[in-house]
Amino acid sequence: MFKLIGSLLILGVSSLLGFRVAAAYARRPTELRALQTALAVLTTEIEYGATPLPDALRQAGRAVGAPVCTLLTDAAGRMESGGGITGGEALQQALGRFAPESHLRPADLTVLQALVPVLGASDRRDQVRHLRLAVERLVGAEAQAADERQRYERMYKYVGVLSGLLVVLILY
Amino acid sequence: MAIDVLLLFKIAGVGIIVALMATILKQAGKDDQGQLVTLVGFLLVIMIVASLLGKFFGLVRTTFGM
Repeated sequence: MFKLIGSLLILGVSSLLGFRVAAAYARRPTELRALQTALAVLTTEIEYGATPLPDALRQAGRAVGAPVCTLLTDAAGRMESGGGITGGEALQQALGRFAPESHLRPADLTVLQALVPVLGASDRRDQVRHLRLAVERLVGAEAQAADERQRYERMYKYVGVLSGLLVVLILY
Repeated sequence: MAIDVLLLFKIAGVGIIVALMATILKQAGKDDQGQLVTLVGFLLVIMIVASLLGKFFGLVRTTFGM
């Protein structure tokens, strides 16, 4: 009886691990696409709306789902809370909190880091140019992430379940 | 006798799972890991078989009083 419970536990844990790794591969392209959408909205707000940066960030955050939305609203909140920090500093701090929550790679985060010295610190044309460049780089990263997802998502699921099965079989 | 049959099924199961895992890893382009898994499975089975063989030789030795 205990043997059976133990084997089920081992199988469950290893499957869970496999599925979690697979889920990380599945979420990365989604998050990258959300970032593209958000930055496109932000570009429009800056270029045509000339909206104040916190409002523009909130507007961009409203256009996308959970993790990216929190990043942008967090940055907006930090700017509005006073303390005299610039848009770039607010983004930097928000990114620090966003990084562990997201499934992005450090390489993806450097694309956003590149916006830190620019955001809210230069004229409209320069900011728009940098935002467009960031979106372009994100598009490239998304294509690569989609390719990796297609290759590794299923593999990690199978390997998780099968390795659990193998351990159970050897120990039984 | 019953234990031997269980052990045989165990070896067969390890073989099936290792083969499946190696195929999937190879499909995903991780050939090196696939080979590693195959090697580990092979060693596991060898270990089981070696202990069985040891038991067998012990039995032979006690039977003929050597």
